[in-house]
Amino acid sequence: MSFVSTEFLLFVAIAAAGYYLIPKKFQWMWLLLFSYIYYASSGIKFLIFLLFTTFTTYSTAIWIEHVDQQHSDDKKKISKKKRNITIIGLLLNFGMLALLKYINFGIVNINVIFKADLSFPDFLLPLGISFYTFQSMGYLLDVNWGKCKAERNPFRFALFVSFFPQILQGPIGRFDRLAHQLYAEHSFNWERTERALQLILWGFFKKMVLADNAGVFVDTIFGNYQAYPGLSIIAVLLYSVQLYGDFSGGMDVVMGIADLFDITMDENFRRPYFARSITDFWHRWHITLGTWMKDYIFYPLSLSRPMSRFGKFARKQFGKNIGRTLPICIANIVVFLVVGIWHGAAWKFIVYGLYNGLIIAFSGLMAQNYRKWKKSLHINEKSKSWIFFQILRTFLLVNISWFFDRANSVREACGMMKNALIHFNPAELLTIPMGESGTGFTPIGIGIVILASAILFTVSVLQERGICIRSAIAARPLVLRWAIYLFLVFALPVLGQPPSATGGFIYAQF
Amino acid sequence: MRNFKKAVVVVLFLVICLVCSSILTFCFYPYNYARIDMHNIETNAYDDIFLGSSHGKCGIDPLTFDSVTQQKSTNLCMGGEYVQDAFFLAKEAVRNHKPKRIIYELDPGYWVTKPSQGMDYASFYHEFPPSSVKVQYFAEKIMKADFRSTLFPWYTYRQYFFKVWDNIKIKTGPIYKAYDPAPFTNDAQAYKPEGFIYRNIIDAPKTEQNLILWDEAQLQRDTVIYFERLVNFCNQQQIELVVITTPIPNETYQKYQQAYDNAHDFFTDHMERLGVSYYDFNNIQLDGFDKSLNSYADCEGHMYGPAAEQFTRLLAEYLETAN
Repeated sequence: MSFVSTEFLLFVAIAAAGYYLIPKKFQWMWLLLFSYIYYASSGIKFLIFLLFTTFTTYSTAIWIEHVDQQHSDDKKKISKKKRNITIIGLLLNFGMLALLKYINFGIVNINVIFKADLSFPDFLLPLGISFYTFQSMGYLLDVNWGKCKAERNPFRFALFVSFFPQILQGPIGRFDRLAHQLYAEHSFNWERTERALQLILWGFFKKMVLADNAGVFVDTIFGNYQAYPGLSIIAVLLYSVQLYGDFSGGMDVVMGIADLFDITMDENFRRPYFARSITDFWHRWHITLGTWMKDYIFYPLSLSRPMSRFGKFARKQFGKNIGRTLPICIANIVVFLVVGIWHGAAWKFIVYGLYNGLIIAFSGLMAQNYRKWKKSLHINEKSKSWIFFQILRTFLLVNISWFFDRANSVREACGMMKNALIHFNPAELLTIPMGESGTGFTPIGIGIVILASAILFTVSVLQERGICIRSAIAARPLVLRWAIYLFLVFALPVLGQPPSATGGFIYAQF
Repeated sequence: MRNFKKAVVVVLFLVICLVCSSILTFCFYPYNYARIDMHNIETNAYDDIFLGSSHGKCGIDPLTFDSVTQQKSTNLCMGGEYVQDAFFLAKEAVRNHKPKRIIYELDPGYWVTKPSQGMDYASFYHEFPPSSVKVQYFAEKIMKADFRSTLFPWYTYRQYFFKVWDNIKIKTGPIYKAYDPAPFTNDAQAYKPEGFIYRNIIDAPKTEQNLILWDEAQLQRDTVIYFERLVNFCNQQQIELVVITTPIPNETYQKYQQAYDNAHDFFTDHMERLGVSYYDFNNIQLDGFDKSLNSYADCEGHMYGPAAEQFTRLLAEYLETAN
């Protein structure tokens, strides 16, 4: 059931109406029912995988808690036992994810390296598996570390894993912040409903008007980059617009729908293109994935015993500064390698992840030098020109990574980057047809992308300055407010691309 | 009280959106021949009903067919009509008057692709009168489409803003009320009685840009299911179901013979299993019918008017003999 389909809107409307009409103590059951109906609509067979993750995570968490409650003086033994159970849970779930998502990638590489002829198994790839596996495993680790208690009711836990607005494209929820909201009793509230509908509308605007129009150009150029050598720079800029519009638009829809049920999801985007460094970018882009990686991979790895031994060794060999920074750099590279693999089973995603990890690691190693250079060059870090330079530099670095993210292969990404350096011919853009409408409408398509980008940019600047757009709109006269809402509503059909020319949400494929 | 006021404001906003969208639908959504086709089955009783794709629309002339069979038939084929649409058209036709026979024109390309959510996606649906069949059609097809197709039916026509005035003129004039096919007549084609599109012989390049070849690996499960539902429906209603494939030009057949032969084998086998008569005129020789490109407006298999009339006569005779 696509987010942009009529049936989904009806589904949400019925779910939300029923949610407030039934007795409050049944609300979480209602949500569970609708979550499973939603997931089953993508294919009943996919439910098996969802149930597998739910069951294995639920039981291992209960087991961990059971072990934890054993009265034993040997705390080390209990801790080791808990760790072993957690590893079983992690292996079962990440093993299934690896099997379903990455086995073909592994076979391709084995066949190439060993000149073998292994055949590919025909596995199903359940929708949203990356998201719900990471969410569930985060919970399992939290239980192991004593950050939260294991949920005793399997049905309540099933809701945490399957909550329908977020299951396909996140955000990756945390048990301590999400679960109690899911199980609580909620009353209907007009202000919140209005806010939710505004957010959903804004999300669809970003997706249908900005991302889908940019996507027509992006798909054409990246699909046949050799035919458009002068458009590589424009293609990647448009992709940065498309991806942000698509993913953050999808998140707005998700958060708006969750809001209809009085459930606040974790923020996943905070104006990422205003980031002043790659580290800052990852604090603003896909925030829930970044924090997941930080909490469950970065800290455990950088604080692990082997890493601390390595730190001691590095301090002796390279001095205090590098010795302290090096383990963090390595942990960062590992984290971003995992981020890359999470994005998909292809070398280009591994390069994409490593690229980000290496920049962050290099920045970490050079941090002290940067400070010295800035001091000797008398750079005022608070000056607007310096901030602007940092934003521009980060945006450039991010766009380089988008080549790997979007191109069909590492080779094509490199080819496009080469073209970006030696060819520039924006006029080629006018030769790209706008779907069924042909090239006659291409200038209009370009105009729509510019207009929508300008609107999004203005909104982002205002938000960056701490202005709440919705409050600002709410303070305006009714006529102006309605004009804005009517513009957003009618922009979807008037300015959006027809579905025959576009795909679904990009991150729903993960 | 405050909540009530809020609710009124929301309802008012929705009403404004609805009114705006209705006005735009009136202005942008064009008068099309699906309206006439639907009007035909709502007001007349037919013995034979043709369902299928644009190949059937341009290849089967009901009046010529009737002159051989001495029955009454109508052509409900249309470009973009998938088996799912054909199933609901059959149901709607039966709701008004049960035909003796349904002749489904099968284009293998429609079995290996999904319907595109373009202008043809809901053409017939929009012309359906309110009924339980329309509700079912909505629930099973339209509801799954992009919500803009449902809430803003005009939006796939938004680029034809230059036709708005013509649309308004037609819809407010006698043509629309009288189901007059005059607006569909131009240099290239004419809409003839009972839903036949007569393609004029004109000097235009013959392309194959919309040709979709059969590939069993791409077979759409939904299409197979809806065809089985059509078969079951016809069995329940005791309506004879006959499936035909109209011939494509020899030149196209020779170029893609493997794909067409594979399609023939698959559908012969499939129809046999379902107990449905199937006649593939790519494999059946009709004496007197010229299958060369001269008979066709393009390489895909859309016949010129005279060739279509000749084919229809031979088809009628063939089916009469086969019966």
